Amino acid sequence: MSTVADKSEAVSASTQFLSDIIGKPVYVKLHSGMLYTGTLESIDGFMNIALSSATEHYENKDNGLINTYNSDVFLRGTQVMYISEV
Amino acid sequence: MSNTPLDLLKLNLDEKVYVKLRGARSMTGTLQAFDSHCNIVLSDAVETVYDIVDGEMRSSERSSEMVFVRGDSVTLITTPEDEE
Amino acid sequence: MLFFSFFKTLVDQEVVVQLKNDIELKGTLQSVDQFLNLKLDNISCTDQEKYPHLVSVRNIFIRGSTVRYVYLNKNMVDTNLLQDATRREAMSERK
Repeated sequence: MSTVADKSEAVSASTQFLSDIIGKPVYVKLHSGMLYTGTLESIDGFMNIALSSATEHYENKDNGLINTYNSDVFLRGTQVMYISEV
Repeated sequence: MSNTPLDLLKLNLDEKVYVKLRGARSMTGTLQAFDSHCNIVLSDAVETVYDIVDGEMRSSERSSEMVFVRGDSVTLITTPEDEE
Repeated sequence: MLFFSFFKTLVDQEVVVQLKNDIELKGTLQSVDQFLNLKLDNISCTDQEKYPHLVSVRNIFIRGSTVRYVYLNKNMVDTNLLQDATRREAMSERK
């Protein structure tokens, strides 16, 4: 479960946040402006992210649904602008 | 053995994947290899490039039997919806 | 390291490299380094109409970061070996 935190004894606030939100619904915004909502399956220290039941919108959720993904979605860490709990 | 996002990607090896790329591009193909930079190799790949001509969305396709994709172009990897 | 090793197995084979500025070059892979910089020999531009400024160039060093795709032939690649190498590769190189 604590994939982010397991290597360091002194857990920083950000890594604590990342391990706390595993299994919860999250928003992930990419630099491209695409916004993904889904259940956080896994995240690593590079901000690589795996979401299940993900939906895709542009910029914000009020803009039309672009896609729904039935299988796990992998998002590349370098493209991630932020992740937040829904 | 922790299940980082990249470990989970290993489950997609030898399976069809959909890869979203920078610059309104995407590619589907069979995942043969990847690394932590998201460099990937796909076989039987089809690339789709989207562009807007006179305010209309167009897409063009290109097939290749084997292609290496440099990781810095990759934004998203998943299973194509029609393969489930 | 996986793709460095992979490209080393492709040396002396003919590949097509598409750069991020859409230029596309065909040539024989001469060498590769850890950044996946590529040296191509005997190059030809696949679309000479569009990019005539490269017609006189025979030999080229490509900075790895400018590469978008490298197109290969199926027979150049042992896919079972590649998949096994990917499964063995340590994915999270955290300090």
